[in-house]
Amino acid sequence: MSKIINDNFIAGETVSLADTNAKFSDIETATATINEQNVRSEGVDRRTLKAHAYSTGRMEPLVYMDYFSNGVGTSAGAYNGQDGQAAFPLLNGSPTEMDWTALAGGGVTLTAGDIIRIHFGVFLTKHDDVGYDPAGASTTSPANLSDAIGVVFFPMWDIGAGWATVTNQVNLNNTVTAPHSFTIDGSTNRTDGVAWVSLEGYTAGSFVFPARMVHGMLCYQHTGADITIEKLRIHGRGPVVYQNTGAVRSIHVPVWGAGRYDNIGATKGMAIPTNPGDSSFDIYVAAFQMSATVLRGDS
Amino acid sequence: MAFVRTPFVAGVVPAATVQTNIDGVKNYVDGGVVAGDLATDNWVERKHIMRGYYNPITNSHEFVSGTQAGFTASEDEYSFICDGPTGRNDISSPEYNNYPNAAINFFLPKAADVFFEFTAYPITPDLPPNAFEASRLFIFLDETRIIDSRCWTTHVANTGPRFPYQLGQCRNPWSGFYVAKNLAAGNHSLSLRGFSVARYSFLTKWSVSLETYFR
Repeated sequence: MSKIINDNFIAGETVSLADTNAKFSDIETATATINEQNVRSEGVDRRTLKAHAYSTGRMEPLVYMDYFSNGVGTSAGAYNGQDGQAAFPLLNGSPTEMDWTALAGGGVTLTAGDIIRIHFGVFLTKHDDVGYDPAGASTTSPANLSDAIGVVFFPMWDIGAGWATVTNQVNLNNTVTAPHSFTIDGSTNRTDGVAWVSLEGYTAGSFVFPARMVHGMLCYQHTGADITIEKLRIHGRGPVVYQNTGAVRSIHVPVWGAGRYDNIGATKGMAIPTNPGDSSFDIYVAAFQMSATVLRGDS
Repeated sequence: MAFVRTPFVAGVVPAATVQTNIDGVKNYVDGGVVAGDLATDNWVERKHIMRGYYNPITNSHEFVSGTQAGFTASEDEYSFICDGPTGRNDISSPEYNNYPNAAINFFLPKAADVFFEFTAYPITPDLPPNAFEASRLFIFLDETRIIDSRCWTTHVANTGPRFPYQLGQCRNPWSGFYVAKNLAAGNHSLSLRGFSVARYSFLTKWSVSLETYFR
């Protein structure tokens, strides 16, 4: 039996203005009257009825879900002169970010216990270092180790103060002067949301084609005071090198073309980039996409 | 009070006004209830919530809020497409074939947001002279190819001092996802399809998973 007495019309009855108005005014004046007697036969509860981002309402446990793809297919955009000293947002194609500022409240609010799951994929088409070789094992030197060189992609969010790293993820967005190491760990400098792309590939013309689609994912459970996520997008950085010295692990930004990677003269090292005097890479990204799923935790 | 009635005035009872009020009630119940309208006691207990239904044939679990489903390849199981019916001789209009056991068919009783993701480990032997673009994979929603979900395998050089050490560097594990927002009620499928311009392409390990959240 519904707590709200909502009379229905019966076939054959004469519809009157008074009855028609009453049918809706009883709901309009439902102050402090909606309880389990109204809704339990439908399998919903107080959390289901709670106001949230979608004006038309969603069913628990989902609070909000969004997705975009930049829609370029096979057409790649260039990010020239990359040497790992600065991060770059992915901006080729359209759209290139999730913008939730038009939602009620100016974004999606995370309350303590809520979870956001971010997925993103990036297709690294090619780079311009023809001859790229991270060295490593060969038939003549099978014990050689290859350097773990790659480009990293990671999600960034705007929670009202500009683009920022997701809480407890290593801040790979800072501009630095090489050589520089970003220390990573399992507490406040995590790499959970980092997707790593190797640069090996086949050579065609003046490019090397890794042709790799990488898929990154980050789950974050919020603690503390509410935050409102306004925007999300993908940033990239690299090439960089993963290093592990035992106690310290890091994402390292070397001076490309120098030192270990020297590409000049008879004493040159691994010669990365290959051409003498080069110290950066032109990187081409085609399709990228991102999704975010906000789930109600114990809020 | 988040629902404001559109009143009926003297004269006929317009169908549009009836519908406006019904829509208003729907939106009110479906996310528009304000805290002040809720009673502070007599709420639902766990026993009142409808149990999920598990279908072992399709490995899907249907809940009040949506459906979950998935498939993970077992040990020594392979999925496989050939160049014959797909992309032999690097034709301009390849035929997209299903990777077997890499599709999820599902029914939505109402519109939902749908999340699909996959992981796969492809191996594609070369077929000279089609040296580079050996095989492709795309997510298909029903019969629509999601072009931005493209994954490739590429040529692995089988000569030089780095062979076979570089094999692991040049084989691309595949992983991707797709979200269909507000997918209409009815029968649907999400599948992995592709083509090969090499001899064939097979998946040594793969998994697909599906989450749907009703609107």
